[in-house]
Amino acid sequence: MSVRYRFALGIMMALFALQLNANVREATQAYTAKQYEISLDFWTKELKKTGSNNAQILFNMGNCLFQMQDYSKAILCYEKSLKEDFNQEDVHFNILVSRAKLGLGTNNKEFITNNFLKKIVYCFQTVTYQHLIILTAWCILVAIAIRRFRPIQNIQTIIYSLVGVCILLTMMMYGRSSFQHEMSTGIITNSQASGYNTMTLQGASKTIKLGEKVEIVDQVAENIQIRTESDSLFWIKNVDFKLI
Amino acid sequence: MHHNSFVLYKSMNLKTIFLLFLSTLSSSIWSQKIEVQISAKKIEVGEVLTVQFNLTNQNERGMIRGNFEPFKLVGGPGVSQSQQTNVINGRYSHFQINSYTLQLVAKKMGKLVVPKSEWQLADGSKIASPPIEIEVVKQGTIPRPQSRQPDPNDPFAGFFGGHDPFADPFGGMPNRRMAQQPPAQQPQGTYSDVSKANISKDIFARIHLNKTKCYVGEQISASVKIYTALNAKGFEAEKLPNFNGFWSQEIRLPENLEMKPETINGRQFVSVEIKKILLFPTKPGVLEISPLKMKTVAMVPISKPRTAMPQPRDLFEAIQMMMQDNMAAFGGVEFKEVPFSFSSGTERVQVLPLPGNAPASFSGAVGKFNLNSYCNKKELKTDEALNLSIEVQGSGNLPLINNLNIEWDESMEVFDPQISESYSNVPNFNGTKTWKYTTIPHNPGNYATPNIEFTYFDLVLRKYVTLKSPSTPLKITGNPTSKKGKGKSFEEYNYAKQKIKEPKIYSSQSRLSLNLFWIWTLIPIFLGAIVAFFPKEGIHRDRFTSGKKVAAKVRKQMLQAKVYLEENKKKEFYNEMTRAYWSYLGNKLRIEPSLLSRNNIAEQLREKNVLEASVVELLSLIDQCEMGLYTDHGSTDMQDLYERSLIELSELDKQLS
Repeated sequence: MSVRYRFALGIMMALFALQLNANVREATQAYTAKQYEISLDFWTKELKKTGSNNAQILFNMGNCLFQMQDYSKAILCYEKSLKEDFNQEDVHFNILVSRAKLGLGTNNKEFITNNFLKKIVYCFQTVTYQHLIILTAWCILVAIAIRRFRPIQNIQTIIYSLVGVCILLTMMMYGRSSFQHEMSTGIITNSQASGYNTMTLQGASKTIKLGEKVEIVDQVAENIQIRTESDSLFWIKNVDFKLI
Repeated sequence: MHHNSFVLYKSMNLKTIFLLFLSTLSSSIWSQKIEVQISAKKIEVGEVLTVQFNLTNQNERGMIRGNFEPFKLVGGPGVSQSQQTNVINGRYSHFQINSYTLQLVAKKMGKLVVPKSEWQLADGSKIASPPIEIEVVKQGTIPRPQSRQPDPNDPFAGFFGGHDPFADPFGGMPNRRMAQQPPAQQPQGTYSDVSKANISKDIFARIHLNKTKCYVGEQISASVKIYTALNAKGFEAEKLPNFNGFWSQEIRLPENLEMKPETINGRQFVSVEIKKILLFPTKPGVLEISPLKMKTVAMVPISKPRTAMPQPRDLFEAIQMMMQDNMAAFGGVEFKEVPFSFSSGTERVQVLPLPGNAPASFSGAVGKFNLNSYCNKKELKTDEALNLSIEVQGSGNLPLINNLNIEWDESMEVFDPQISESYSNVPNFNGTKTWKYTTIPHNPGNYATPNIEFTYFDLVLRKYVTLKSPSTPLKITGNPTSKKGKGKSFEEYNYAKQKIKEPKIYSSQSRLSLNLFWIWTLIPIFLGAIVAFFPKEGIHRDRFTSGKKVAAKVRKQMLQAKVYLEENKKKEFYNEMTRAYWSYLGNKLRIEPSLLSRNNIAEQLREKNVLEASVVELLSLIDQCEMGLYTDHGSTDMQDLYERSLIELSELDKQLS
């Protein structure tokens, strides 16, 4: 390949890379200029792209919403970011700050599972899990071949260990995936959200705190039964909250 | 329990039901904690058994799903709520009944027991239903009688599915029927025909508000009442009022709902207050309270000519006539049952916004309050905890106040306050809310607790009132310490004052497509499986010489040994002989060279039914060869050894072939 063609190819690749990061660049610049709504728009565009780092984008979106003082939606973005990558101490911290701003307890309640399990399964990115599983599978192949054609001491134990590691990694990857796709919790995003004792949303009502993390218990048409952080059951309209 | 005694309430996802029984009922059936009703005591295999559990005033959180073996759950649990007011000899009692309905199908015949069901109560304890014994018989063995037509005059037909729980004709019946009669003050008028009856003037509901114009956060008292001038069988709520835009606090009414006589436009009514709610508007504007919709079966008095009824001949006939529900004939009035729906009408509240000149310390409180603060220490050391309690007491929208705007000294580490509150509805809604702040000073010196200001909107004065509590001087001794020290937990930190963390520089994330991942993972797995299941025999066959080749190989080795014998090369001779033996035996018996040993060989040969003499001779020859190889002994017997070996190997070959 001639020098001219190489140069042209290099320029094209650079332009492509610039195009890829245009949204990120614009979003970052807008955030620095305190134009949080514009920044939020660019991050939203970037989120729709394939190959984007959703955890980091949602973290940025949460920060934009926090600066816009829309704390409940900020919490929603932070929680979504944690679904992508739970091991983000900064996001956990920002959730607590946002909750404190809304007058909610800073002892953030966790539903369904404990943090410990999440911390373990989120220790690798999905792509890392994939690479590790592929690597382990090829190692198993090599070990089987050695055992077959040139047996060495403890080869059987090595094969069993590799198979165990492969299964463990697969389970962890799917555990991470199941946490990512879990749709059982939400955040109250309507400051006027009223909780009723009856499914028909009639009778006496209680105001559900804005930004509260709630667990979905039941759903009938447009109405959803939720369990609040104080362990009370209420029926609310589904427009009053957003799924994490 | 009888076949027809099952009461099917509307399921909860349709309508919440209110039942007001304005008739005398035996309260004994409601006094139990869990009432169980079953559709039949004897059922056929495959027949649906309906079981209903009525929990009265239990305040349970929910049913714990259990195992219904040997029954199969085919429907439910359907949940319905109802409230009942019973009137017994002028005394009224109120019940909240939650009904759980299950549909079960028996899997086998015999005397089966429906397992107990459990409910979690609000206080954490559990309540369980008693086990129910059911007889399950073969299909087609239970005769199916014609179901009894419900008596159209039976006022309890609707509630007891046609079955009268007080069926004794000489027992409670006359009393109950007498109680069905209108109160003494009514009826004030009868109708000549049902079609001419204007029941909406006789039975109606109203939502009473103590005010219709108020400020945001100002307390409104709402009372939902039913008025009736007619006798009615039961009241069912079709739609309850909706208090959107209000924070509401329901006032618990006494179990025995009070029934009051009231005169409206000169007419006597009986009124019952079924709900009392305190409302606090949360936003300005015109807020609507949707109407209460109810239905009932009204007993409309219809004039009837006296001539229709014969006079009773004696007392017995008079009692009989009473039992036949012809009491009205004596007075010339007949009561017709007319289903009737009514509604309370929409109520509107004009909510005024609060004045705009609110001080910074205003956090939404409306009402009348007092402020107190207490500090547990005046002198303390660094890293020692100081508690400051701020108590707001009074009447108003106190439950809606969450944050107090308090500025602490920067050097003080302040934790989130613990909030405790208690309220009472007597005489008006009032209560106390306490914020308990814990703070830890880190620097010695003279400090003071912050000036506490609490502003509320006074409804009487119609202006903002700021309450102040003076600061307390604090003397802090000891050495300076750092914040967040001493292993305090992350959660204890005061987050509201923190700045949020910014993410690192954005980096995109590569992802492997799922197809590619599976291809790269499954390739080694398939290859591994192929290698693992590759036939072992194929490989082993190549490693051992078999058939005639063994004899040829040994023959070659023996010829070589003979050459060494003739050349009198003792070491080479024994070496070749040893190799010939091991090679022959290894190949013939298919034993790995590393596993060849005297014992191993002898065992294998015996297994292959080689004569013991041959085995002994072979072992002797191997011993002699090895002895000759490693020692000088036996050099003279080389010729003899060679000949014996030829004989032995040919003998062995015959036996092994």
